[in-house]
Amino acid sequence: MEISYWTLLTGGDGEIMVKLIKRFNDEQPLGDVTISRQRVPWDEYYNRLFTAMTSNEAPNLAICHGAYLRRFSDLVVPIGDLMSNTNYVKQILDACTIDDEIRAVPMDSHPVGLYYNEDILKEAGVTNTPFDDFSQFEEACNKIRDETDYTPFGPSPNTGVEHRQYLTSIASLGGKLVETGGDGPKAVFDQGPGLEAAEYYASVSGERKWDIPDTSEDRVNREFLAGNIGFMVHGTWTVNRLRDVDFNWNMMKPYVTPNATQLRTAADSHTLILPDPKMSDERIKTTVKVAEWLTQNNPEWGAEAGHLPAYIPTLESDDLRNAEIWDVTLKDFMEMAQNGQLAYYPQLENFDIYDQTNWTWLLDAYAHNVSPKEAVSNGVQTWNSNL
Amino acid sequence: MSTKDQLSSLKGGFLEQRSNKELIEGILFSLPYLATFSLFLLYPLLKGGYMSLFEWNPFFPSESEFIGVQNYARMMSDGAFWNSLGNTLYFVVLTVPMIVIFSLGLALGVNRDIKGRGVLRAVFFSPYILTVSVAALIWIELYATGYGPINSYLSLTGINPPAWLQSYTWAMPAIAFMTMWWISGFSFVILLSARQSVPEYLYEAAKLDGAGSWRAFRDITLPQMRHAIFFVVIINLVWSFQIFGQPYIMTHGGPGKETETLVMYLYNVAFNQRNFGYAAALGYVLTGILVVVSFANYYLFRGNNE
Repeated sequence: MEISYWTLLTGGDGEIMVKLIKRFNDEQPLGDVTISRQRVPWDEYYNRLFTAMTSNEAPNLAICHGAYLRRFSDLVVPIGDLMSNTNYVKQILDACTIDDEIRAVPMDSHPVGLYYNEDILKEAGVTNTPFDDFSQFEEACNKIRDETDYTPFGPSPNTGVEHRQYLTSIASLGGKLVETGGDGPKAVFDQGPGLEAAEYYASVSGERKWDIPDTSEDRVNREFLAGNIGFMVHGTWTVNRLRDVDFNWNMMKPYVTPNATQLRTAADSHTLILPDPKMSDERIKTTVKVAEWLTQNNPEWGAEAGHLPAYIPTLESDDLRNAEIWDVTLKDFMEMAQNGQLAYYPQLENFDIYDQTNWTWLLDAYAHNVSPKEAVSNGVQTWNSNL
Repeated sequence: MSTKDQLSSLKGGFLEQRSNKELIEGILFSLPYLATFSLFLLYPLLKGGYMSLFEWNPFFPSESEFIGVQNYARMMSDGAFWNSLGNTLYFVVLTVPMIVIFSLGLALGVNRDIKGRGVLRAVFFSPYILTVSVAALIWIELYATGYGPINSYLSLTGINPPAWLQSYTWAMPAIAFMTMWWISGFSFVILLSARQSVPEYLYEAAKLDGAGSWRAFRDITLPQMRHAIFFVVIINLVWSFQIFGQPYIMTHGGPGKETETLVMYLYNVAFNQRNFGYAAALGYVLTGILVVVSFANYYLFRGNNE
């Protein structure tokens, strides 16, 4: 039996996924079952999956971010009863549960962390890494600004990471992007923690002078990789690009928000869904087994791709613990996952949360086109008209 | 009555002059196009009109709720719709004259007897073969505030350059300029072809009568090329009203919502909000606008003709 499988992964994790599927097809651990992989570009992926699902052309298996599960839950096959075990990190598995039904097999979590250039910090005289609170981070940024020619900090505007930074700050301040009440979901980030997070975000490129108010696409990412920025907030996947840089780098937990009441970091998960409810029972059962194999036999998903595997035995495996990247990034991420410190995006039915058009107001705040208050007000207006 | 009898009974010179064989051949030759037209244009057009009358459920279409013309009525009070329509009109006003004048200038310039004319033609046309993604990515780099070549050169001249794609003032003109660079090649080819069709004896006669370059351009070139110019204006109007890829890739509709165009809004309503009924209604309104604009142009140019 051939299982059709759609992925959206490119770059480092895309290559690991190809290797993983090749291993499956070579070893054929489920007997005469193979995987036929089709990669769809990230920016087209969810619309194509959606149109495939509405026209009965859906693949048997597909990657789906946890944030999108509710958007597809009407047609995704519930699989809780078919899974052989649920030995996954609880917070990650919870993100796969919609209306008390497990709708996806979790593959990983990919939170954001605070990546830093050790050489710049050394030149600025910052030696107390990793930090335990915001004041240490603030002091380090000020030192880089005052003692070196480097840019202290970039929260990665216009890379799709800016909203992860923003969610990290809101959650660290005890707030939410969206409240779900009797009248349906409603954006609430125009006051309290949402406004405070936006004011802080704008201050990074404003009065703090840690960065410039330039939201040119991918600027911070490039500058960090070129060795010109001290700190950058980015996701687990960035390690694949950092392997080739010619400076010393490291990562720590993101204590990047002033007045934070708790440590939180924005996270999402790659999960595996069965988007075609018209499959035969036999094919559904086989596809679930394939999904379980892919999520349970993948130490390289952490060791090489840099993501935090969701399956606990894999997470505790020697293969992963002995990997070079474990002490650099994954150990911190695992501690945060175990401590319930991952802040997941709200799962919304009629809202494409990763669509950059929903976050232009945040870039406006960073570029100082408008005040933070006006920016969040515009953002809430846009969101609520969509929600 | 047989087909032959039906056809032979048709009145009017057009059909009477043609044999049945020719007619059948004509129909057969048209069938592939008609089939494609019906499948990819007519059916979606009708289906879109049908959907626009419903609160459409994309997962379970049979559960869609009929709401009449409510989706059309909703537009009247939808600020995002008016904003996107205004942005689209602004883009059209910026782009269409720029493209027509720029392409006409290139066509007339290249039509002259200059060295490297063939190479120049290829160079001017070449951006047109790029996909919107590639063209947009090139210009994202060119417009980049800190490291982009445009701002680097402007800085050398002492000008303090703007953040093109982040500025409320400059984002749309920047997209319009990029669009002109990208698609002018098509209009250039059409206009060059039209210019080459103008008989040279007209210019020779005008010269003998003492007409200068401007007079020849005004009284010979423009009137002789008016059909091509009309076509170029119409096609650019249609393309410009349908602008989507450039702002979607270059600015995501920002800063704020300054570059969110009508098709981009339609796309967001469909795929972001999953409100396909309203998106279909927006599509119909856009089509209506294009039909009106096209007819207006037709009558405008026809008037000049007369």
